[in-house]
Amino acid sequence: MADPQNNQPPTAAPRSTLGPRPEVPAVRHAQLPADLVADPLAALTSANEIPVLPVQSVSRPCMLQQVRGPLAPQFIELRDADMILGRADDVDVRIPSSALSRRHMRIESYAFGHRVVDLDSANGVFLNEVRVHSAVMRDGDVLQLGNVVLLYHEGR
Amino acid sequence: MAFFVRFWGTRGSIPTPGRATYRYGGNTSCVEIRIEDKLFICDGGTGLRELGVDLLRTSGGAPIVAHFLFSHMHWDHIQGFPFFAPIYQPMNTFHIYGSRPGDTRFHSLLSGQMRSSYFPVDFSELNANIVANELGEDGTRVIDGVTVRCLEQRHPGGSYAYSLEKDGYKVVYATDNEIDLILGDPTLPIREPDAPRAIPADIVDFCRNADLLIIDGQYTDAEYRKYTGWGHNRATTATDLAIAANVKQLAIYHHDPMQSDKDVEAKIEHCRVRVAQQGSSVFVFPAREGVELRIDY
Repeated sequence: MADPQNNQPPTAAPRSTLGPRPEVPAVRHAQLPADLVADPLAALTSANEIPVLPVQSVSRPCMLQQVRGPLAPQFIELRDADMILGRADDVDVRIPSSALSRRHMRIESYAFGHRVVDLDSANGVFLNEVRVHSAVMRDGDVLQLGNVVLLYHEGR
Repeated sequence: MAFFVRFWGTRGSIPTPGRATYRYGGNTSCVEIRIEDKLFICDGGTGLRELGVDLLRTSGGAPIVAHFLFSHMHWDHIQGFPFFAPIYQPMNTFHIYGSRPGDTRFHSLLSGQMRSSYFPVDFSELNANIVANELGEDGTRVIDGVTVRCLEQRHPGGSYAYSLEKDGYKVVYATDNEIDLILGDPTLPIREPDAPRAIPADIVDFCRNADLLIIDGQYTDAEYRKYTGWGHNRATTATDLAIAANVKQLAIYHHDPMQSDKDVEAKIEHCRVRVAQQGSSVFVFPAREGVELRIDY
């Protein structure tokens, strides 16, 4: 807008008018779709118009990161279905620790994440040092089952 | 036999959804206590809505019977009631207890919050059987084999704590109380903040040897200086009560709405240091939405 005091023309373009097509740095995120990586503004139709690009969300599954105990370190991907963790051969997540019960903990999947349930295990399920029967998990929670320590990572 | 205690709402005063309260939760007071197949519900804050959803999911269409033990009728303890879906189903029964024979205040006040000016469905239109019930003359009653006791607390307008006992196990629910106003020496926390505080004997006796004490620990010591008289404990005073009463586990509850998850954790750490200083073995932890404890370990 012109300054009414000195009646000079504006020195910068109004915010609603875009300038020439900008230089776009290379996108390095490996999980972005290839066409977006190659030219993020490929759909640009003219130098003065930038259309709204389609949203390309990057999904990541929920994970348990085992940081202590047999098989650690490892990542355990959590499915959208209930899973049993224990030392028995027929469970979904087998960790060969004598401190675990055969069927130690159920991991329930629900709309907003996961809930863990102690299956009457001998050594219990500790969430951030608190012995729990069940708990809705939050990102960064630490679970301890005997000598097995797991870190919960929320998906997105 | 075991007690199962599940936290559905742990926040005090007003719901506080958002990232800052993500871990410990933003719903207001509501705790489910299940003893065998008997269901007790302590307070009906906004956490009660999700408990209702869970009950409908897990009951499989069978009738739901529950005993409501309300601490008092302030908003953060009743706001979930109209949104508790099982009250709209005719096969369900809910008992609302008064503290003494003839005390139907809670039943009538609950209906008051459902007048048309506040809520579109009138209390009289609820399909479930809502029973105005009562504890005995001494504030005690055996309900389905569980001994329930109440204790009047210090809070603006009054409030009640409840203890539930069966087969040697004991859980105490004591929120919205300001023990700090009735300490034996109220100036001691100012003069000697780390010194054990003299908790009134009736409160200590009420909580004695509890396996789990769920208690209002809304304020840090610094916050309490600003909010003296608002009806809530310092978390450190709640800790001293747990130590004096030989409680096993102490759940600090009714978190202040201004406290983020990090603030809650700092508050708990302060309580743990206090427990260690006094040579106690009480386990202190923050009440957290979505966590269920089993009381028979």
